[in-house]
Amino acid sequence: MELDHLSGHISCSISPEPIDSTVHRRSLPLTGSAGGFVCFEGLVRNVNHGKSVFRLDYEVYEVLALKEMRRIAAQAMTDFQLFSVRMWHRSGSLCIGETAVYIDVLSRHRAEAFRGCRFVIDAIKQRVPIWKKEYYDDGTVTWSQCHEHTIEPAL
Amino acid sequence: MTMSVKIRYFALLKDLVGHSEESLLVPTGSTAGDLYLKLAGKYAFPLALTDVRVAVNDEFTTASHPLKANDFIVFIPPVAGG
Repeated sequence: MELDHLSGHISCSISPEPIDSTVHRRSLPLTGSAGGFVCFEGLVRNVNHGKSVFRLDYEVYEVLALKEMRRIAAQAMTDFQLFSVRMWHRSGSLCIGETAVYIDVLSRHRAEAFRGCRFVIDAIKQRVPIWKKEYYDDGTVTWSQCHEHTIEPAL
Repeated sequence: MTMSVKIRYFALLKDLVGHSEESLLVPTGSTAGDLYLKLAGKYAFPLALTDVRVAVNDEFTTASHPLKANDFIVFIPPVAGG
């Protein structure tokens, strides 16, 4: 199957509906040259900064969020020689275990795919205007500022 | 001389203001940073100007950005997507 004309594919979306990764996996813009596929899903966790969370709301500045997501995708395509970068980020109210963000990338080899996907999720956390309101079991509610707290060491 | 600009609030700032959009008259020649300081005083924003990013007309810019009539301004508190 030769589908190289599809290389250079970028897709960025804000989804008010639940993210179904199996649907996205089936719509992967495959190219015969791609040897690496890496996908990352960020899930809603039940604890943040030591407090029990039972749900959260994502609020999105959608016009600028989409612009910034496309810039991140274009930068990843160039810096890691990727064939495709796709990302979906949820908006609205989410329960524990739901997918908050889905990212996938295609590349010639696995190393670029791992690094490119890692770059995209880190850049989303740092740059895209999306906010998270956390609802705790103790009845309190706060707007998280997790970009200051959750930067993990690079691979 | 004054001019009208539109401001949209998100997240923490929206909760403090109590609504998501408003139009305000600002002195001609104001910068985005001038506007933020005025709003931060009015609504008791807990974030310093250096803690927020500035967007004018749906594009990132700096606090020193000179405002024009009918500009659409968003002050972006620390983000937490992903």
